[in-house]
Amino acid sequence: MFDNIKILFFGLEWGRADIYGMGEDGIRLLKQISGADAGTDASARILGLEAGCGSPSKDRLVDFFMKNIDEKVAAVYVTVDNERQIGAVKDAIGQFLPGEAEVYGIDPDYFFSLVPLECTGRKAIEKYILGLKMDFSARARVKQAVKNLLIDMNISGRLYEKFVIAADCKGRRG
Amino acid sequence: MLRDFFLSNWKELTGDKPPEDLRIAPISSCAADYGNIIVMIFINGSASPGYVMKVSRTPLAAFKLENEFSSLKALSADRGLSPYIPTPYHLGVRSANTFFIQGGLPGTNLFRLIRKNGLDKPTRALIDESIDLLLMINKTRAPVAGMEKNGLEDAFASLEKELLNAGAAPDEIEEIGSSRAVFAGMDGRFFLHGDYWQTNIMADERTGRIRGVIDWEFSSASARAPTDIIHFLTNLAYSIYGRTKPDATVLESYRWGFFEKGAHNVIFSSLMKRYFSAAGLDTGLFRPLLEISLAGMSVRELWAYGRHAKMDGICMEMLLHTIRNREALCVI
Repeated sequence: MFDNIKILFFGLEWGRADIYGMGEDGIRLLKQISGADAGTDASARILGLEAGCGSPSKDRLVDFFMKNIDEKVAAVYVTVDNERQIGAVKDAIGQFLPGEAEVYGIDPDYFFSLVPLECTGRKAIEKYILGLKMDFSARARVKQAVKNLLIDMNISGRLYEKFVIAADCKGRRG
Repeated sequence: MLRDFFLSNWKELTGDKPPEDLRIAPISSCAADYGNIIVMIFINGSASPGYVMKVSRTPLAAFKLENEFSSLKALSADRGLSPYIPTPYHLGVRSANTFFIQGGLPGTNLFRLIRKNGLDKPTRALIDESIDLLLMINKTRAPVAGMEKNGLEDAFASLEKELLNAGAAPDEIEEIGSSRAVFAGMDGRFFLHGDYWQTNIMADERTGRIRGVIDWEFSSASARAPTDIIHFLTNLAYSIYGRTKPDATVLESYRWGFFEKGAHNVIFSSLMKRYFSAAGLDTGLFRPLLEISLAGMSVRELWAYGRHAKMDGICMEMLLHTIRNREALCVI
């Protein structure tokens, strides 16, 4: 999934992504992924947290960020399973990084494409992405009709398997 | 972040002043690591992307984007074709990722329309228009600096080995060699799209006209054989057959379309003859063209990425079926 998420950081220079996972027994480093190569700032990092099915409280997130955001972190992202968790994540990020955090739904039915939420034109964009799908079986057509209805009713959060909230560290608080 | 990158560099990337609102939707069109990330760029609340960014996932596949951009630049210089081509704006490299920006092409792809509507009159008209457009593409004299020359003809270097691996008999390999020889002596006069199938052809349902063609990664100039028409027809069979049999495989659709007698053969034959006549080709070249097109498609991914992917194997099966059932070929 990071393969798709990292496009959000295009334009930033980073040498490594540190991706943490949140479970019942705490937050642990899951993996480190190398970023771009020569010519970029190799010490700059992306900090990621896959909150999973846990409920990341704002305090827990703030604690995590306090321990891990330093001057070398270029951008931050958090993935959550539930649309209701987005608010807490944005609040926590907002304590460290001013500016607009971007929120995307991750669509499992279209190779984990990212769909921007919390923006003007959200419905139109969601319908456009929905319209790209190429399964025309009877079952898929019913599913598509239901999804269109969810979009029209402003409850399209159910379309997404996960959500990602991302922000860069430009203009961070000291 | 990507949005900030666009807003900060918009003038350089597109030549336009930055939009008031810009939203991005990064999508993947396939799971393979040699695929691209495609970013749909929606500006000022529009319902369809005004611009599209393509980014190579790996340096290995960067050449495809470079080739595609060169192709878009070349075709944009052809006045007859330029309305059908996404406007090429900018090619660049950032942190070892090759990317380019092109204009968005609104509409619905032809595959979707065929699956939805079948071969009703408006869809037949779009199919006919696709053939006319293909003729324009294949005959273009647009300048081709920076583009792949001869495209898949280079891929044939590994063909014999791949045929042996697939279980082809010596006389079958010889048959394919004969088909190649038919075109080997011809002028390299065809500009190929390289992936001319219905999902890459955008149509406007409201006007009933073709809007344009996308995905020019496999385009090439100076080809001796006009393989695009075969790509179009074989995938047309898949588009049509899958309407009543959604689980049908590409091979099953191909057998139905080309080897089972029915009204559909008449359509395919008619389209083939329309193309051949306008291209100045003898219809007797159809079978060898079919064989070498499938042969090229069976090694395309090996040639491009150094390893086979699913479509190579499928096209090899189609090729062997064609060689082994020549007498049953219904499209002439």
